[in-house]
Amino acid sequence: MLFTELRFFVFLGFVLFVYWSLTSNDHRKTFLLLASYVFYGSWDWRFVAMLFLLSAGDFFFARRIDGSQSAAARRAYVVASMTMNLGVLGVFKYCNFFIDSAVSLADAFGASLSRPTLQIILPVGISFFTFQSLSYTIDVYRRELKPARNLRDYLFVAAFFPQLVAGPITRPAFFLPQLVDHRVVTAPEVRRFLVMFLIGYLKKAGIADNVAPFVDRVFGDPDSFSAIASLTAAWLYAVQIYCDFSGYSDMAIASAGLMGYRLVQNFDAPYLASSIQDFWRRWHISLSTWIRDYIYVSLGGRSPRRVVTYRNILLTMLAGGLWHGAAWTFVAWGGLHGCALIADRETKRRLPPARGSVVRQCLGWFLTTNFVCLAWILFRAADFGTALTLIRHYLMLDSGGSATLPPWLTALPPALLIVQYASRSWRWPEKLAFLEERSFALTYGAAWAFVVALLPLAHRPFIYFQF
Amino acid sequence: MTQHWSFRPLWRLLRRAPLVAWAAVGFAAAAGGLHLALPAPWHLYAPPRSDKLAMLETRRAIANAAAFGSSRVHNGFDPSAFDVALAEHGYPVTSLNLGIFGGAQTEERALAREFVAHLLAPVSAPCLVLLELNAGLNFQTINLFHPRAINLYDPDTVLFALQFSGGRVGAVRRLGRAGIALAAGMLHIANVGMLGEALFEPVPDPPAPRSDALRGFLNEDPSLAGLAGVKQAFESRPSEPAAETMPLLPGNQEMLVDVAAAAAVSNIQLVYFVTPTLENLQRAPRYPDTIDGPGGAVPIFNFAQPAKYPELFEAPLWSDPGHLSRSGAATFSRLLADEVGAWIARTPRASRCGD
Repeated sequence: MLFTELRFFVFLGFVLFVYWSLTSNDHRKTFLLLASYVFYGSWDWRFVAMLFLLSAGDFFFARRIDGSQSAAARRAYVVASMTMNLGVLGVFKYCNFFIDSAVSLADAFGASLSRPTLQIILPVGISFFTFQSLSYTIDVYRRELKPARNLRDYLFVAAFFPQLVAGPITRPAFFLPQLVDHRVVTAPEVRRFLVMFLIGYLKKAGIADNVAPFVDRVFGDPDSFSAIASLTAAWLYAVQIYCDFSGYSDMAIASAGLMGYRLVQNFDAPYLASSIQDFWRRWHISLSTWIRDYIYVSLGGRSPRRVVTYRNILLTMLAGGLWHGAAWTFVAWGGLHGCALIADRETKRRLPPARGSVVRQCLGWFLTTNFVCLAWILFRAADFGTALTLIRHYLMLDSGGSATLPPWLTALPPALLIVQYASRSWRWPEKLAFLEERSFALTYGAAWAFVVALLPLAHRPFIYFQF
Repeated sequence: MTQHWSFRPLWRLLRRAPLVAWAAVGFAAAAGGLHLALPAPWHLYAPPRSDKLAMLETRRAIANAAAFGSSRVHNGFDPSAFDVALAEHGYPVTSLNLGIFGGAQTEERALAREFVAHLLAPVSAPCLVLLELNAGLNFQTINLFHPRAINLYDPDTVLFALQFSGGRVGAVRRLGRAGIALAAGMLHIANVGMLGEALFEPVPDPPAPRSDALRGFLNEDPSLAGLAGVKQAFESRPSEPAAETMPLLPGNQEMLVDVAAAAAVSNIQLVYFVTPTLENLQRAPRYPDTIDGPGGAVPIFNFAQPAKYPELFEAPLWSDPGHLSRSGAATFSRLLADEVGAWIARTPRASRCGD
């Protein structure tokens, strides 16, 4: 059940109606827990049991960690929790990747191994909820969080449907305190969340899904396309991935907000970043702070020895790359960003500080944005060969083939960036939320008319052909 | 003071109902304005319908006959075989196959109207509009959110579709047919997906050169599952199929009126035909021989009768239980040409389009 589907609207409407009709906070939480399992079960009922067992396991481990006096026992329980979560993640997401990599390595050394590819279905959202669960037991281990008071509360935190399948990765330390009291939503907040949901829907269905077919065409056959088309496709992919992911996050935050729960902000206009470090403060914030706090810090974080700090940065970003997908292109993408972060630090260390320098800010933005777009090529490409072709096109080292994309698409990403810059400056979504009720309802309805007209139906296969 | 919203109890929620009504007004006003701004011929765009329309565009000047309908026409009507057979009767035509996979009566009407609207009257030759009588009425429910349905179902098409939900159609089917038509019509009026298609030029499907070279006729090689189905259908064939009398619906007549009204030339010959399937080995539908059309009786050639057309019901002529093979298409097209030729011989006016 995707947030863009009609059945999600029906589901959310039903959930909101029942939720706000219940008077007891306990009943509300129990109802939301059941609704979350129904939501997750809409993909595959079998994985609901897995989600329940993982959450229950971490609840148990956290209680044991909190209750144990000996450091060794505490350590044993947190290791057990990590093993469980990473084990499940490893089996479902990385098993084939590791097998294939081992076989390829053996091939490279002349040993011929058969390639036993396992037919494993990837449970939706597994990367998100395992990381979220890990942060719970680690925080309890670090004595930064008291464990949940009862199993129901923790199951609810782990399964809360708005953020279950695609984040934002909401740490229990942030979410658990919200379970104590009745949640309250004010009328302006309702309007703000309705606007946020609409904007998220527009980004996901109206923009990301519409540009996707053009991106797919170029990435599917890069040799046929001209350098300008490749450049456009890379830019469009940057738009697509941002609108897709941030749109989904907006809808998640808004859905939770309509129930009175707060989720963390996940994006903050990342393509307006003036450095790569700035980019990572704005892009997928819940993940970047997670890997900072649980990987970078665990590796030792910032060290007096620069080389150690840089090693930690690189390892953290490699792990972050692997988190995104089980392929070496993702690892390379993470490594590239790690190198860029190191280069960014080195540059800042060597250059004199230039606070307020517009020229340096603009140059920083230009270099950062183009680097990020180039790196997205690695992220999106099916293999290194495709990525290399597109990177050569992007850098105009190769004029490419003769196929093109509609020219106006080249102007679309800069135009959208200007719109984002303007909307941040004018804060019109916030202003819309403060309209008088009737004007808001009229405007909101009219806005939906434009959004549904943008739905990308043309690329939908006619289902008849599947029979 | 901060105003707290509570959705409990129900009556408090109902107090917000006027706001929902205002939102609906805003939606309707914006959607209406947008609808007027969209290009007028937009309703016909949708692959693979637009592929056939593109083919029609390139052959408009030479074509004076076309067959319309579902995949049974797309797979089963061979224009070359039809033209050769009809020429033997003394009526030279150049025909096109404008049948479409999953095609419905509503889509059939749209294409037929588009065809006849640009028809050029040939000298001493008939203009034939061959309409499949037994194409489905609507698209399936699961295809509701598809441009083929949404773009097409303007109010006029919805009214046309509703003409198939009356008469002797069962209550459930009647409700289903009307429901789908109305839902598609609402999505059409709400412009769902239309602005996206107008802004983001849709990526065309891979061209089908064979289909184009064969004037829209494309018959793929049969699948193993399809052939197994054919074998099973013949193995379970009873000695005689049960006869089933099929009603003609007001929509069948409306189709003829609408197509004739759209014609750029006078005296076009409308023809209904019933495509066969192997289900006809079990149940053979019976239709009247003719139906009243705007210019007189319109023939209904019913090929779903194994007793009358035994040569069609041979296993090698079928790709699967619902579709003819290439040789089956040739046989069917020849038989159709023979029936049409005989009809024109009986009604000489039909032999001269534009007179």
